[in-house]
Amino acid sequence: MSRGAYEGNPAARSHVVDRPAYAELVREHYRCVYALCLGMVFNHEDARDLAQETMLVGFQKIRHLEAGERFRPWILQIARNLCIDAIRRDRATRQRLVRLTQRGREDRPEHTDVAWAVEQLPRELRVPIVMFYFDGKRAEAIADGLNISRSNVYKRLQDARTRLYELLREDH
Amino acid sequence: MDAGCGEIRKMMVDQLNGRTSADAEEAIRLHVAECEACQAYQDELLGDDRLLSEWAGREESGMTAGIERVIGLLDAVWEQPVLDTRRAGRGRLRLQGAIAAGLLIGVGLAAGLAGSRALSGPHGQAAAGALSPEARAAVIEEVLARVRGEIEQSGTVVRQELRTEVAQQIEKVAADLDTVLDRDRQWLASTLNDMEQRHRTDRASVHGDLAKLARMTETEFARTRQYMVRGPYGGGEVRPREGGERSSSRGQL
Repeated sequence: MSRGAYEGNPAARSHVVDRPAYAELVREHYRCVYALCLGMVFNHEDARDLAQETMLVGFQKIRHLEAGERFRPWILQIARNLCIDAIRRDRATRQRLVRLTQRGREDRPEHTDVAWAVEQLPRELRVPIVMFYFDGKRAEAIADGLNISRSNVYKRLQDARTRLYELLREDH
Repeated sequence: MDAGCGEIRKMMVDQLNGRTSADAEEAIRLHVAECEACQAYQDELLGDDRLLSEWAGREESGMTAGIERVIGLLDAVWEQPVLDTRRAGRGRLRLQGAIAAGLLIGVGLAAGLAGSRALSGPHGQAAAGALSPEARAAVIEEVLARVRGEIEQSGTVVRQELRTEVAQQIEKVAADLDTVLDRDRQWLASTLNDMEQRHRTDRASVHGDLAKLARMTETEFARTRQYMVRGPYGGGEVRPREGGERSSSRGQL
């Protein structure tokens, strides 16, 4: 079964799911899943675990992908749900996300300036900018994945860049 | 910065986001040739863009490893029952088990390959029966990481259960306290009632006694007066008291 079968062909509902075809989907979409998870939880280890879990859950549930439904938004929805569950469940993650807003610039080493600045962004700006840089700088892919309009993505990216510009140039 | 600078800077940001046109690029080029401030701004934006790209690039190897790991685990996970997202907590446990099993198999295979390669070397016989130190360290590290994860998750569940239990106990104690307080309130009300009634009875009784005493006093007073005016025999003489001059003088009056 080719990858196209997952991208809208009713054969996606078949109970015979081809492992190599899904492996191809993993190669293509893992980065955007990872970027979304990183944007949500802003911790590389957690994002890695959640991205892997997302792809494995997707493999188990691929039979339920509706005919005509595209894989990318579907798998990103799974990732978003898992991230929200993880944030709710994991008190440490919640506390860390709360601390992000309280942490001063002096608390981090010089070389993590950019990461620190991205951390400070609100989630609706952080997720698109992280996805932009971690998944091939494609605004249309972000719009597709987050199920929002392309102009909305451009607006968020613009706001995120403006805020980052300010954060990176604030006085110590 | 003149009025056009704001527009040009917006175009610069759009350009970085991949939304640009030949006209916009030409406008930017012409503007920065004239405006040093916008030239500096563009340089800074490009610097930020480079830093962000480098930051993402540092994770590239981690992402590649993640992809390979997921692909390696697909077979192990496929045998698991389909997960229900509403029960993601339990599902996650099963997935973690599968991930741990897959990792062990993967690392074991890697170790096996390393072993078979070692067999063809000069120290092949010695190495044949043992895991390479790197493989062993990797196995131990993975197992420890998974065990740590499971313990953390179990800890979370236990904490939640304890919290629920404590909340239930607190609710029960509060309900018991309410009952006790209600009982005490009722007892107090009834005692106050009794006291009030007793007080009323006592007051009535005291009033009665006082009235009786007043009547008796009045009678006694009248009798004394009569005695003093008429004497004990009703004839007006006063019976002299023994050895009392005042009595006799009063009798003469």
